[in-house]
Amino acid sequence: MNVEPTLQKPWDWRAAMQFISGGTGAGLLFFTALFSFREPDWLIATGLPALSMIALGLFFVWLKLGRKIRPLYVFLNPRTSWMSREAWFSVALVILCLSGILFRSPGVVFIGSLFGLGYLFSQAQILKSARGIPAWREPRIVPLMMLTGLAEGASVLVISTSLLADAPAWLIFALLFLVTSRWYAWTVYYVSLKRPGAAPILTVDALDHLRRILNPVGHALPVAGLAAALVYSPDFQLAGALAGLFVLIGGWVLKFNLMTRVAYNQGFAIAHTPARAPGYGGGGVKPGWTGTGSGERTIEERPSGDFAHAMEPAELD
Amino acid sequence: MTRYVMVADLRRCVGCQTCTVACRHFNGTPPGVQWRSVLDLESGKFPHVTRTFIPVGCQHCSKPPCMYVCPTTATRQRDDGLVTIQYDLCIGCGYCIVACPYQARYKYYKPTYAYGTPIDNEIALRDTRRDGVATKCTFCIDRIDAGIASGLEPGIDPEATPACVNSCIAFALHFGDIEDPESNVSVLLRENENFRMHDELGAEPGFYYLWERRST
Amino acid sequence: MAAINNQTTKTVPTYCYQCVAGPDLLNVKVRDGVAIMVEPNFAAAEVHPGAGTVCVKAYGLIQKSYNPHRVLSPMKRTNPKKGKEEDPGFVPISWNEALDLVADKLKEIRAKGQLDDSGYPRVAASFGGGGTAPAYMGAFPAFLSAWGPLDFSFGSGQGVKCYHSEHLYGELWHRAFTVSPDTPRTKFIISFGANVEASGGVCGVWRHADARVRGTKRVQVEPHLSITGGASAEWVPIRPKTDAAFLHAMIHVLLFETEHERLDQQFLKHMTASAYLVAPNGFYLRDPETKKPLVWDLTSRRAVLFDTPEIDPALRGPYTVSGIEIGPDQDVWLHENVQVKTAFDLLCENEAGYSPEWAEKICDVPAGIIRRLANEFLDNADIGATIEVDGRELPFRPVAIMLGKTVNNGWGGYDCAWARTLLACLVGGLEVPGGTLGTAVRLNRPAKDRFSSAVPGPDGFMDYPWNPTDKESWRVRPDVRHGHSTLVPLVADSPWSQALGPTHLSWMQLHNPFPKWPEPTVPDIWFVYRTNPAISFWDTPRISEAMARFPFVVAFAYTVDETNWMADVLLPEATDLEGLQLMRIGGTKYVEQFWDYHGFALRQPVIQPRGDTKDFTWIGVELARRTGLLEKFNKALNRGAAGVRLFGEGYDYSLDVSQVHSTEVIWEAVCKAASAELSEGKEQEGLDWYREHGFKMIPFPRLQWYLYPHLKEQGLRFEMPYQERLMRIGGQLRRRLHEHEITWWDRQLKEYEPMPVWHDYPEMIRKIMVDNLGGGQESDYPFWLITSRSMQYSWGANVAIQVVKEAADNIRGHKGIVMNAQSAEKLGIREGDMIEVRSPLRATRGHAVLRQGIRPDTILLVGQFDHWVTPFAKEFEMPSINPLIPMLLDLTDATGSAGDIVPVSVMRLGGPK
Repeated sequence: MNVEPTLQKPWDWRAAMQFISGGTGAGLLFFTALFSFREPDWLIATGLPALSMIALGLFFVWLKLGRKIRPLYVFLNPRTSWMSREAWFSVALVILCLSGILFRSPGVVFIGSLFGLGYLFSQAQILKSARGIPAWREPRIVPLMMLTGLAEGASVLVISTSLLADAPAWLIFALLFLVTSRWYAWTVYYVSLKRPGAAPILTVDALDHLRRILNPVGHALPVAGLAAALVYSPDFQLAGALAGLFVLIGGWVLKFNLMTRVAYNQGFAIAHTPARAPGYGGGGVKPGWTGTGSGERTIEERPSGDFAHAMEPAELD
Repeated sequence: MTRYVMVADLRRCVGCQTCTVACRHFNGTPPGVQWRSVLDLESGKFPHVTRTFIPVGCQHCSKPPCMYVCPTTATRQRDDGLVTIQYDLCIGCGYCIVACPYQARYKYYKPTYAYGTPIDNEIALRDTRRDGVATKCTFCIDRIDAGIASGLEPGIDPEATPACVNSCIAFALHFGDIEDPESNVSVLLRENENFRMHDELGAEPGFYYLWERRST
Repeated sequence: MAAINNQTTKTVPTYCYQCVAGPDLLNVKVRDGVAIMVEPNFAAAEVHPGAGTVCVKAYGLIQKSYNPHRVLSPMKRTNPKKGKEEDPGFVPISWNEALDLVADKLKEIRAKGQLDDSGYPRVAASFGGGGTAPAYMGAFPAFLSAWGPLDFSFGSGQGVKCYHSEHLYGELWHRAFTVSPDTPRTKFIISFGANVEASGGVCGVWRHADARVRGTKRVQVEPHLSITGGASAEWVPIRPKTDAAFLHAMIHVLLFETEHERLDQQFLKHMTASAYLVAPNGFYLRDPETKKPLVWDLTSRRAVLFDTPEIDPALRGPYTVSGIEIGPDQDVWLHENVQVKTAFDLLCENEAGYSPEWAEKICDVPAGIIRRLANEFLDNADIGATIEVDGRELPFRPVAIMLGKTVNNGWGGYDCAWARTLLACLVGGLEVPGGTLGTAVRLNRPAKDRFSSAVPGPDGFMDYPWNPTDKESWRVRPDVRHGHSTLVPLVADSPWSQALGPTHLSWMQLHNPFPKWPEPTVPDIWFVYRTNPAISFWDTPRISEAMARFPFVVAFAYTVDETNWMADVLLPEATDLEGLQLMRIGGTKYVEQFWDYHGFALRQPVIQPRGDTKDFTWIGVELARRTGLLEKFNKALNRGAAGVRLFGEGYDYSLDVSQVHSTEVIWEAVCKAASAELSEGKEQEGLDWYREHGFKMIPFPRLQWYLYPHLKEQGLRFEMPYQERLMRIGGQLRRRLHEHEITWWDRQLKEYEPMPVWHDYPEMIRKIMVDNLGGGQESDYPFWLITSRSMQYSWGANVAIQVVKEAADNIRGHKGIVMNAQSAEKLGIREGDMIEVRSPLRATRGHAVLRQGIRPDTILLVGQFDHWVTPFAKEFEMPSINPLIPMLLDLTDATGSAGDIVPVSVMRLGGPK
């Protein structure tokens, strides 16, 4: 077993798909509900797809189950498990939203979409509770996951409305606000993990890599597009749609990376190297982490000579 | 009250992996599924280098992150501190695996075999209940329970003691009740400097590492 | 949680002796006839030095039994051609056919004569290292005994993979085939590459763990940070093969930077030959009448016999004295009033130039560290302290020095073994509690303990069974192919001596015959068991070529492997968990086996033998019967060929010599005789009792751990520091060889020095390799390739066991070539890259494993892999040091050994897999 943190394996692309599909679906559901108070037709146009996305997310969860005939046991621990809570939220939201859509009742769908937000919140909390993954357990992942879910949902509605009708200005505003907030939440999240000793080195490397893609593609471009759409509305509907697309892609890239590229586990560490003779103990060692010492011995009696003078094979240089 | 803990004396451990293999024997785990293993950790820069061997596995935490996240209540905690998995309830979602900061949990859909096809001892020890669910070190709970039922003392009597502890050729692994101030583990912890791994994460592991004699 | 508490589960006691650090006493849980679990035999906790625990290798035995790659019926070769590329085409045959094939061949040999035209035995045998194979051969040794002359000289790595100098000189100096600290009592150990945490078995690991926690400080001096280095208080990364210089410097510190009063004067004066007077030609000055060496008595101020009572011998001279001097072949010089020095004077002269500053440049270790460690050694020795053992007061000197392999092999090995023993003498720490102890004897006889052979010899020393070098008795014609009794006087001629001779010579001469030496012949039959020289020796491709020329090879086979690939008949024995055998255990035995008990343990069939495998005893009986040797076989059994003499005072369990006895009947008799031996005839527990209990032991007095009291009782002393006998014997050997125009052993003859003198061993080795093999210049090979033991694999022939590989892979270095991270960076090598390591002989390749715990000039290959036939193991992609090291006479020292080290270059070939 590797001493240094290694990339977690049990939650693979299927788990990523769950967070991607379910998160976007929950966000979309929420904005569809809001939108449908004025445009009830959209309950079906984007409401059903939103539900489908959540269902697809849950399907991906099922795909990664080791015991596929026991999925209903997932409901058993709402007392402490955010995964159980997520399941309960999803049941509530599906029942309410399907009923709302069936009876063309935006109010019911809205209530359902609030459960959808609960579902989204559960997703974020699922990650935060995964104590074994430093990049997930960072509390600032919760606003980030919430905001990206909402932004993705809003962006799908912006894209849809832009293409099929006119995207309302409030929605563009909302998306602009959300994408800006997501950028902020991401930055706060990123900075907190960049602190020395806050994360495995490889996690930080992966975050750096992600940042180089996410900020221009998922944040800067969309902000510009949305601003253009607002300023030059209605001629720049397409800009809004494109911006939405980039928000969406950014969110998905973010989540895919969080699940499969950034998620190094804790690794192993010792608070002291052992005293192989009394008095010969040393400091702690936390391999593969930023900002850690090297386990140097703490006492004076350690081999103190300078071995460096002649240790190179002469012909190496 | 009783609270069973494991104590590993890092001064003694030489990384021989006897515990690793003894565990695989007793628990019949497939190749690569090491509920107990020993890490080989090198630290420092040449020529000031140390090498430490660290037994790891489920730490049977007092506040087990794996248990809190488990959606099915398959992972539970007994009054004596042992964290258990009820295989029949587990759906194999893997959440506990990512929740565990000690990489103690394993999941496989179908076991692998030493030589591709199962050999006699693998057939004899095959436990289909473990397919597709989370598994981990149990502190050899069967031995403990059967031992106690026979009036034996875990950590003292081999028949009631985890296989890894019995097997340790360096007397580095110890097991016992930390609530009993006179138990073997309590005495060791009192007499020696010790730490718990990743203590800052707050899971309160039931696994202590000794590293130095405590000055009196 | 395996449900092992099932009603049909039973527990069967047995032993594991896959390596010399055993045996370990274990229990196997068997459910419905299937072995499912190995665990310690807790009943042995009281009697075993490691509290009854069992080594990791024993846990591989279950997979070993059920391994689907096993050979499960006798096989014969169908392809008459032999070679690495020639598939032997093994086909199953019946036992009857297989045994007849072998027996017919044996009978043919008996008819022709057991020796060939060169005078060598026509039958050769090679068995696994360190005497482990006999613990699995049942009563087969009785067949070997019945047969007559056998050649055991085709080695599998002995000499180059063992503690060779220690074995030979250790037995001479303190009946120490191997050497151990008195670990339970010592306070300070300096270990030169002795990887005891990997080689010491459970007893070693347990005892050293206890010692560490008790407060013992161990300093590990070695080029890479081994397991033992990791478990030590300090690591001193010394340049490979310069240990002798370090040890010389330690002696220098004690002799020249310390008041001599701080040394153990009494020990030096009365327990060593330090005060012996040395005459001008380098031999002891002797009394003309008694021929005894003289010492200068400070009380009477005159030279007296060394064994004169109540004298105070002078350690320092010179003195003017008369006497005689006896050289080789009893050459005598008469000296009148000649100035003579003491052996101690000569020691000081020998060591004068070896200061820590001198050693610093050679060893690449700061002088301050050498000086500090020498002083710690002296300070911790507690000179003057005593301790009571079994009611007897003995000196207590809790310091010891350990030597590892390569340190102990080849050139420089003599220096290190001598220096270690001498350092113990300087502080009075040889064979006393806390100090440096021997473990067992193998060259001296009897082998059952260390004391029986410690009888008075010449000059106040223990006698020693040298191979003769005098004109009349020197064996001009070697008995076996490597000529141990001809070339190596020190290796003696016990049943173990052949295996400790220069075993590479037997292989080498098949390619390059030695002048004036009998025609090198291949044996008519070669028996092989638990050994794989095609992997484990040096220059393995050449070994394979050589064995392909053997006309008839009989291999007791577990799986097909690189050696039995050349076999004509494979005989699958009922292996570890399937066979029946009683083994002598306890007392003191090598590595770290110091027991407070001794007795016997049973290996018994835990499961039914797999397939058509047969118990080794049955095979032995059948071969004896089919070759007409049954009576001799049974007589050998009665004499003790199965480990116990079957008769003694008050008991007689001898077998009827005319009958064919079953395996059970044989071991029943052995068990009863063993019980009777332990109880002086009072008890007679038989096979069933041992089957149930596993072992029977009686107390072994701890006083017998130490040789000192035994020598003291007999008025004997240690043959230190001056090696007068060796010098004389070396002189005689030189004359004998030269009389027969044998000059190819001259380099070895130079080692017969009275005290070792430093030579630049690393450069010597590098130069020898390049000079002999060509292939560039010395500077083309800037790195040193060394090896290190893998605890999980070593000795066990368990490389085909999956769980062993799995366990071993948790330890760094088992998956590639270890090198220093900074050196790798300079060569553009990253972790996991494919790299080539090239010696002057040939190259190998593997994946780079980068570490800080290794010198920048050192490359490490753990274990011995590179399999190309052995199932499972051939998939490892793990290289070995062995194909890279040539077998060369120039690398061979006087004891017939050479070191596991080779200069290499390193090159990146490509990225990781």
